[in-house]
Amino acid sequence: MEPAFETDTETEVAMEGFREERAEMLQDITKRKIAETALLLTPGLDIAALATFAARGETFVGKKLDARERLNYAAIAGFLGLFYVLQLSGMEKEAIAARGIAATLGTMEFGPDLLEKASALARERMPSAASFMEKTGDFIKDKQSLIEDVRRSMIELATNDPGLISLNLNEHA
Amino acid sequence: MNTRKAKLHETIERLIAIHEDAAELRYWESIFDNLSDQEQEMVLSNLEHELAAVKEAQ
Repeated sequence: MEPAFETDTETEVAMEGFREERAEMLQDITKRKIAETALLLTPGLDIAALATFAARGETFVGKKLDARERLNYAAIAGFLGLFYVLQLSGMEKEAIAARGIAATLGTMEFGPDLLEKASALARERMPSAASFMEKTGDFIKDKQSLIEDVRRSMIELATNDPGLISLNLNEHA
Repeated sequence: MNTRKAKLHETIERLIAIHEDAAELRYWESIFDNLSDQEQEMVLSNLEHELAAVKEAQ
């Protein structure tokens, strides 16, 4: 049985708990979609750890996020992670290994052009993920400041800890 | 519209009416068809429990 809340503040605290749970759900969902896409398009590439790490609740400046920010963060990290996997999918494994996430995400200009490019890539290479990607892109498109935070966070994390992106060239050669 | 999606829509409308974040909830509704059965159940359960908790508090 759900507890009763006597004040607006207590209600707000309860709502925050459900939002927090949804932020974690979205993080898990995007992680699975990235992993499924990578497994199909680029076997051996694992960046799901990076997306999860990036979305776990702290920005690159160490600011603690509330539940709404965490959900937005998870959506953005998921979108960028999927886009990264899609971009790499047409490349040789040796080229992928040489091309870091900083080179890919660092030059990305988020805006209508990128959304269109991401959507076209998904439709071409992973149709089952295209709808999710388009709707997530639509959800995050007005969150430019947070997108920059997440992008820089992902680049910094990948630079400081390359193990967050692993590519096994031998196992899937 | 299937039963689960209809329930989701109704729950979201009621949560928005009590000032839950409309943009976030519309996003969940938009991606609902892209989720697995288990993921759909988890999302719907979360929202229904939030609605019940808030109604009980009022």
